[in-house]
Amino acid sequence: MRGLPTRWIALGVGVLIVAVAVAFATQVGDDPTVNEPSPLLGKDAPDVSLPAFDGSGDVSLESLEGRAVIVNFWNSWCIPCREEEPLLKDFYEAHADDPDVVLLGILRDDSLGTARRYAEERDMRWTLVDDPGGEAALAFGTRGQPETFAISTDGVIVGSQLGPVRSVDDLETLLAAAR
Amino acid sequence: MSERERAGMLSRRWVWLALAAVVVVTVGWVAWPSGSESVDARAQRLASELRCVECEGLSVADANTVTAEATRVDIRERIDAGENDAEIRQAYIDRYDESMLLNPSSDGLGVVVWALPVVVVLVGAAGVAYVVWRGRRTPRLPASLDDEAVVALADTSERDSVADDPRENEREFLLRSLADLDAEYATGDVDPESYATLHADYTARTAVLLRELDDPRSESSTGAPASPPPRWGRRLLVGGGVVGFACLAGVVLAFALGARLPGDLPTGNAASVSADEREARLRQAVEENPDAPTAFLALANFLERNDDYAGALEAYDRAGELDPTDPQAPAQAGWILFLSARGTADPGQQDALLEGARERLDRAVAIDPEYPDARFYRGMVLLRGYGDAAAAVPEFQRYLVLAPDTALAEQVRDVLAEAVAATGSTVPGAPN
Repeated sequence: MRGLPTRWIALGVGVLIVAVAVAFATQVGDDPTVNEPSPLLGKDAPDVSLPAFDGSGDVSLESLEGRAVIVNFWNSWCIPCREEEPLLKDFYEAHADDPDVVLLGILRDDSLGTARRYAEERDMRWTLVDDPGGEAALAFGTRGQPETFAISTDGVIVGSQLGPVRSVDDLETLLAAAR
Repeated sequence: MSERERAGMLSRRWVWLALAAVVVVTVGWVAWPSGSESVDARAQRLASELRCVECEGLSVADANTVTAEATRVDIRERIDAGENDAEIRQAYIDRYDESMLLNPSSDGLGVVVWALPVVVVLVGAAGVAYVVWRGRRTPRLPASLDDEAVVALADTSERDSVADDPRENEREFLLRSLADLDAEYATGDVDPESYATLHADYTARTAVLLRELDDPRSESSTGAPASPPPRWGRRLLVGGGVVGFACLAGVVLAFALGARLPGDLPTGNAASVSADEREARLRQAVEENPDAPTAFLALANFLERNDDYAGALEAYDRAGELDPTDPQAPAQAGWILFLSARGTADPGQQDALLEGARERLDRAVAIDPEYPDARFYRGMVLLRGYGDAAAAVPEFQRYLVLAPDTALAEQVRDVLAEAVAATGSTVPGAPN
């Protein structure tokens, strides 16, 4: 019986090592940022001011307060953005006459000339702005593109979608949260 | 206790104290902050602690994405605004969550990462201390004449048939220890007083064990424990001590070599060379070897990675002139011109850049039709630069045939699908 306590200690140490190994092993490949809602939910939208594609001057989020804003980060070379673009177009056309709704496309990680031509070819008529230094992409904590945020009438981020929206209903859900 | 034993104990105590002092001084020396940190160094350090959100395993300091660049600018602005390190880190945690930090957090599972080495070191140190304390505390046993006789008659040969009995191992160990002690005494390595004490102790313990082996029900004649001392616990503690010491050495070594950042070698020998120093060395190599295409290629690769596209283009073109049989230089030069064309708003300039890109990529493919990168680049120029999806499709297909398992292959499949869709959903040459 004298050897029993030390054997139990050895067993305990072994179990502890295995438990720690299992705990870490289960974390491998588990990217905590995937499918997690943005930590900015419930916080004030960043106050960014960005140059419009059409050269009409800067568009600031502050100036859009009082309206429900859907912010979409996109670019011309990302395939999911291209897949999403027809849905954005449908959504925009459904609300084009509603002065309380704004669809704002912020260019992310692309050259302005290429994106502008792409937008013209695709007839993207919603408000498009450039983000030359990546200031807005950083301020919104974006992890890639496309990424979409809903900003309420009082300027609070109330919804987010990492990756492309799958239907116009997704956009309507975001809008409903923002109204 | 004799004067000699007392002197020996004192000298051993001094050795332990000296060892402890060396460890404390070494850890303190390497861990102590050395001088004040410049703003640039601080910004670089903080950037190296943050994860590039679009990259795999890269820090903001090492990445060239738009948001990584914006983050570096933002960190610098926050430093200039007087924010401390914790406030700057917190700003990113608020925006991205804890996963933005490359160092593990200090709560949740992250606690284990920080605490485990400390726990191991403490357990190891405690183990060593216990073994030393126990060794000192164990009383030396006197040996009777009967004990001497029992040991003298002992069979010193190994007994395989009972090797699974732990007491047999103990018997062999004690008999071997006695023989070793005699040998050491014979050579003068052990003084007579210590020899007498140790010999009596070993003899008494061996005699107890031998009697037990002959008659398991017998009691100890010396009052010593009837069973052999537990060896598992001792082994565990000694092992813990060794592991603890190894961990301590690892911590000291890690401090001495500096933090391992993404991209650094485990030995840390690459971390001490700054980007400026690397560029200076590569430029010096080019100057000293003006006819060596590899020197120009190395410089061009470095400049391209560091966003000096004009410099990289010049170096690639020179490498291509020096070695007209290497497809890499014209292929990379073509790709740089293509990227430049995409970043140019002036249509006239864009056309000229695209022409330059196409000429170099055609040359690269002519040099080596099997060089996959040139195929992909040419496909991109045709698709995105000229809008010629039909011509781009076979280039992407060729790439996938030549290099189906590269990291780029998935992206190539995507653009191939896009190009195929743009041609009317049929692959040229494929059966309808």
